[in-house]
Amino acid sequence: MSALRAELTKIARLRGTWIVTGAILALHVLITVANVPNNVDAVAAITPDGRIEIFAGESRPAEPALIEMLLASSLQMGLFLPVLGAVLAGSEFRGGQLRVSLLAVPRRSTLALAKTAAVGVHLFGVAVVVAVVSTAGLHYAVRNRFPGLLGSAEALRGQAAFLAFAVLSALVGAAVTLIVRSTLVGVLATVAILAVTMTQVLAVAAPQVDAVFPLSAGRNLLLDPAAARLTAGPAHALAVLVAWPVLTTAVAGVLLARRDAR
Amino acid sequence: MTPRPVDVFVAELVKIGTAPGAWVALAAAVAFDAALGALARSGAVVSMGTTVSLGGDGTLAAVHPFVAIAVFAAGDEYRCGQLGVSLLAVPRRTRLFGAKLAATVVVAGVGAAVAVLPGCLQRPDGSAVPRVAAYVLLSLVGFGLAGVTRSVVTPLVLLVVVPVLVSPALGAVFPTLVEYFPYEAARSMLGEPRDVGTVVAAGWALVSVTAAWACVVRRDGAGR
Repeated sequence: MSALRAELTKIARLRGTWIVTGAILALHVLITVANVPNNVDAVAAITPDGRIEIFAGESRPAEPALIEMLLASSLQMGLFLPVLGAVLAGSEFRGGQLRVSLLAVPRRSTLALAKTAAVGVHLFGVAVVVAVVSTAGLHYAVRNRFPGLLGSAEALRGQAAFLAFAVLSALVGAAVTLIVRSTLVGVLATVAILAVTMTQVLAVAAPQVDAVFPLSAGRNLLLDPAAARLTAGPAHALAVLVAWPVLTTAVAGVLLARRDAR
Repeated sequence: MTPRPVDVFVAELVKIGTAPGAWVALAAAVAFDAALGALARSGAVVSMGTTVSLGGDGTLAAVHPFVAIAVFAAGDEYRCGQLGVSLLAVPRRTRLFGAKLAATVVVAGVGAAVAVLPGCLQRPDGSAVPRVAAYVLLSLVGFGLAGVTRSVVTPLVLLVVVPVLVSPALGAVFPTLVEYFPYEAARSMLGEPRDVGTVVAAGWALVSVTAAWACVVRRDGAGR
């Protein structure tokens, strides 16, 4: 427990933590605020039979479309969290800081667990703020038309799924950084994993392969299969999202325990 | 005895050429561009429509590993107090900076000509000159950022994360603004009209390099 508290202190005192966290949240607020007029217009133009056109030429039932838009705006920011995870995890590989930490916490598995848990706690906090900002932005647009929409079971289930995706996928970034022992390589590997799926090359060419990447799993978990081209169901997606951090963190823990402390 | 400018220039070339990271970056850029060229030639990308931006003819994605050469050239001196040793040899900071900049431009120019070759041989339009210019200008942006931040991590992360993650997110709301970002400006140099993109990318390079020069001249030589 004191190891966890120590790791949380390290994260909170790190300048990089607050620069990256601040940049992610500022970007999210900027995009959300800029989208408010579009959303207000789209909600005002809902047809009498309850259909909304969020993208030009795509008319869909309003309530599920609005919830999906809420989740998609959070999901978009969720892509940045693995980078944050990598920055948080990589801070001890400079200047031999890790040796000092191991002097204080010699049991390496304890240190690996405490580090992962502390990164997870910070990521969860950031993900909650992201979800709150998305919700506030949409609330302004729908508050008169659908006052109960954002509190509905469907919306809350989606928010919970987003939080799970955000923390689980970002822990992969942290674990990869612990494996390669470098923030730079950790961030670049994380972005490469994202870029493979962002281009949607795999989704078209090899859907089964696409479905095992964390970002695709996030899409498969959060988005509406009726509107987006998805490559697997939600259960498969959740399994993928849990398997990535568990496997990469296990590898990182074993390597931390066995390698020279550099 | 003050070293001659040409000696300082050659010393900087040696520093860049003996850093293993520069060769790894060049090899990665060549391989990446060859792969993207093959993807573009195969037509697989065109058939997927607009969802794919990575493999199209207008792509500049292979520049991401390439800029590491310039970033290492500028940023590697800030590790382990290497800059202090360089300043002991060349106390005039503007001369040291100028030599480093000149060496980086030469290496980036020659390296870019090699790096774009496999892709250009495979692409139908095949014009290499704007592509080389885009590589060099983005390298200079990275060079300046490394000098300002005194790190290799921050510029490389920024130069990859901004075009791959930030631009798509921001571009949905501010499409015009994103066109003025360094990577997007450099990419627009590959198509017509290319003059606006060239001016914007050159402007980024100029601002970034000037800021780095101001930092090198004014800051503590120990690299702190």
